[in-house]
Amino acid sequence: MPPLPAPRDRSLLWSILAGGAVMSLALGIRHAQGLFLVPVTLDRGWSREAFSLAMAVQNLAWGIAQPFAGAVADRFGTHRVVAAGVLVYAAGLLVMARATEPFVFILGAGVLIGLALACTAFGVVYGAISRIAGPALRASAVAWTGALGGIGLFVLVPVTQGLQDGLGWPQALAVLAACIAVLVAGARALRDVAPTPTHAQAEAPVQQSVAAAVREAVGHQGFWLLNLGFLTCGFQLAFIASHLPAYVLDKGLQPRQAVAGLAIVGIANVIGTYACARLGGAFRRKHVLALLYLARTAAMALFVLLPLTPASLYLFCAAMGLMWLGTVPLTNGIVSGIFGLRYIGTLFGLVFLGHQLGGFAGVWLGGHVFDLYRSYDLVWLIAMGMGLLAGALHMAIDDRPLARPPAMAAA
Amino acid sequence: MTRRALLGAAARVAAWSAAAAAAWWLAWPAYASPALLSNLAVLFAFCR
Repeated sequence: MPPLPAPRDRSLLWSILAGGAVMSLALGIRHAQGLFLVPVTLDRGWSREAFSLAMAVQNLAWGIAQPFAGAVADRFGTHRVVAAGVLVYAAGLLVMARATEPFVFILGAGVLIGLALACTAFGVVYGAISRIAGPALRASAVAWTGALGGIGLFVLVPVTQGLQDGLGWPQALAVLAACIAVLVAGARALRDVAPTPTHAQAEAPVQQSVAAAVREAVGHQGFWLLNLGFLTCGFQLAFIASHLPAYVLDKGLQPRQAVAGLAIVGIANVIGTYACARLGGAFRRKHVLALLYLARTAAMALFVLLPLTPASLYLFCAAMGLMWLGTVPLTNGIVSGIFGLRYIGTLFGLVFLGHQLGGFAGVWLGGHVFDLYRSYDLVWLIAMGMGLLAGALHMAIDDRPLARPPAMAAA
Repeated sequence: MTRRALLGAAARVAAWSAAAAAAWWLAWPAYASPALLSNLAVLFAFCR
């Protein structure tokens, strides 16, 4: 195993551990929440539509809240946003457990957890780690945080099922709520604004308001190209995560094999996130991202064109897992490389909104096209076409850091 | 790429692969539990 970065003081190590733990639980619980569909709808007597509506609301709330959560983190510190986020997350899980009306369930699982994800996932954590780590350790620190953050996706599925089996689903939600609430104690390790001097402040001596930073970003061609690229990422991942099991079951594979495929995605994502972040430190990130989207396209083409067997499914899942959340540190790194670290939370949040819109389209279009044609082929083609386009668009990004004359930047 | 860099990269790939294999060996029995399989089978059917 590669060694952890050797920071000059222990604070960076604690920041990595805290950021990784928060992301791991936040993303892991979200990844496993589908396991509550059956017990919740059976116990409460609700339709499954109510449950899926809550999940849709959650994704939209996450996307819409991300720029605002990032702006608050940029202004008041990521530690405060994360502390509030883990408590809101816990509250959302408890509301899920106690809700007796679909509206209340949607409020907890949809709105509260969606807001909490904006405050606890990579949208704010990578920015904090980038600020706390110096340039020499940044790629390594982000890579380790991403790898730790990915562990929850792999581990929390069986853990959540075990909690449900042993305690019952409301108690399982309460245990998960307690686990994430405890992390409020570690939020302090993500303190990334004054009074602690940070590398971000040292690297950005000029002052700029958040409104000026947003205006500057939306006037930059690279910002929109990153948005389109991230929209593609959201589309591909959401389509595959939601519809791949149905696709392989329709082709004659067994549920056990579909479960193994999803587990392989989870474990490969840990390695892939680490590797992509390190590659982003060694090469130009836009080149790595372009190659990643082209490789995703090639993997999808081979998977759809070759005969489907358990082995081809597992190979496809391993390949996609290696490229699953690896786009996030790379995209985050390009945004901070061009616009600086001062408003990375706000600006990455705006780019992430595109990711969530793409995700919404991927889930919805997958179902809609299947209902029309009884086949996913058209959606696979769209996902591949978007991957080729995203690869080309990333090559066109002007990723040079913006030069800001002090007089203009002070606006 | 130097010989040393290649050896380093190979060692990292081997280390990560070993860690992934160990994690799989530990976690797969829990993934393959009848309760989880039946729960996910219903979820997959719902997605269809």
